[in-house]
Amino acid sequence: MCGIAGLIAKERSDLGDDLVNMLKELVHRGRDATGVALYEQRDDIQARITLTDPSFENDLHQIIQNYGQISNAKIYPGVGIFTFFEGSIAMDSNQISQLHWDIDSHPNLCVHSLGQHLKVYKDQGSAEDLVAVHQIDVGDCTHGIGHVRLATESVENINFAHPFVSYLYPGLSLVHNGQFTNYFKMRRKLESLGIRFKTANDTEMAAHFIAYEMKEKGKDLESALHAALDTFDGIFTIMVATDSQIGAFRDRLAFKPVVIYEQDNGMVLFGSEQISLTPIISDVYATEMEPGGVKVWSV
Amino acid sequence: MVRLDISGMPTLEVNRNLRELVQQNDEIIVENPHSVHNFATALKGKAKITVEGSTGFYTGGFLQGPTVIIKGNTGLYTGDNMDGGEIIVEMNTGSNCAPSMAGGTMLIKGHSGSRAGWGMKGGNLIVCGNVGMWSGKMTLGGRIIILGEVGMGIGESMYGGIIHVLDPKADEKLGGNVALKPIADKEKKEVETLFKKFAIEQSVDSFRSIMPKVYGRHDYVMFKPTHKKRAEV
Repeated sequence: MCGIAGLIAKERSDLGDDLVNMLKELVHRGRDATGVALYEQRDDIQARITLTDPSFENDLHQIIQNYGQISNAKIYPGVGIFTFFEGSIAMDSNQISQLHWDIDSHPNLCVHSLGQHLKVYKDQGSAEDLVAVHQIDVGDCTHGIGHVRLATESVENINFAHPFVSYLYPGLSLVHNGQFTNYFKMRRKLESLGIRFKTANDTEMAAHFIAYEMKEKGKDLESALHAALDTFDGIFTIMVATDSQIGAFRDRLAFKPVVIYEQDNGMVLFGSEQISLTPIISDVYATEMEPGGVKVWSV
Repeated sequence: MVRLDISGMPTLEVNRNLRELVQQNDEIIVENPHSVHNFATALKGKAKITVEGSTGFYTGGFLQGPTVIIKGNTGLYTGDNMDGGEIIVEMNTGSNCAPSMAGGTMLIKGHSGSRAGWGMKGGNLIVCGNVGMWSGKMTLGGRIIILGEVGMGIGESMYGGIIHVLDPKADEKLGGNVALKPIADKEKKEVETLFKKFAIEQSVDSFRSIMPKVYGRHDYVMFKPTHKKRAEV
């Protein structure tokens, strides 16, 4: 089933907590994994990476030290078998894609997020489990997207959980509710263009496709989403966030739900169900996005 | 009149209590509903049940007689397969209200979501606010009245029944296989009677009616390929 939620709110100080509370209301839509992508207002480059075992910490440090110095590093166990690394890196922002590629080249490491504003927290279990183990340590955020997973595609592994990022376009994150029926066709097509996949989850394809359209073809988010709507086949309601925008689009038969509520002060709430909006605002008439709809909001 | 506090009560017990109370009381007031799912399912009798709060999914499913008044909101599939009686929602409902409804009346004083009155077979559905996309889709019978705006594809693939709309832009949002016509005098009287019963102050003159183009089966159009000569391709 899966559930998605999102929030654009400059004036709320604790956006991370708000988004987690929205996901707590969607727990009935999936409790295999929960994840949030938050966009923080800061200047240094943040990394969140999983290790299959704490012993790979040295390998990770060696890779990162080719690009810059690590500070505020912490390493801690997650809900399941994975170990998490979090830290900031003093490096050239033009080399983020290359560092992302190098870390993902290691079979025991997986980048959850690497970029200037974006931080992705995802782990197995419900939103309650996520906040019990991970300290969502973010400053002032502008926007964020979140996802609760009921695994239907690929394996139940947190690296296969949403939000997905792409090394092609640092700062892009994506959550998806649904299944693609042309995943293998699209994956082969993207692989023939030189794009490397880290997981076997169909949503990673969507992240790479949109990142490729924006990075290599120079499209803006809205035209990239239109291209994705024309190319993807299957059931999908997708939310994509970049450093300055959130976009949403839906398949033409509108299988998977998303309701949107826009407030006059610029706050926008997204959720699979109306109940996910209630921790922020209750008793409002949220409208459902139309089938085949594409819309982008600037933060 | 009897008051029933259902705070923390399992759904099965809520409905078991209601079934007993409906037999002996004319009026039941339900307190602390906390959005309970499957509230007042398959109830028979003539009692009036007033809920002081919001209820969850499948409120009043298979209802067969009582009047259920909900002072707050309801969730998805309100009045699923309703057979008789009345459901009055003072605020909004979720998507798919009155699906496959066969009889009775549902009045929503706020807004409803997508696919309102989906596959209705009989009875009346009145929505004072807006409805979302594909409302009245594949309707087989009954009457839907919408006072607010309608979503895209209203009445898509209707087989029977009728939808009355006030939305001036309804012709742009019409579904396939349906026609939009001015309201007939006979229909006006029927709608007026309903409005009088539920004290809805709204003139019926500016309503328009949506009904299937062809009653019964759709016109089946055989696919005819057009051949072009090779030179033209």
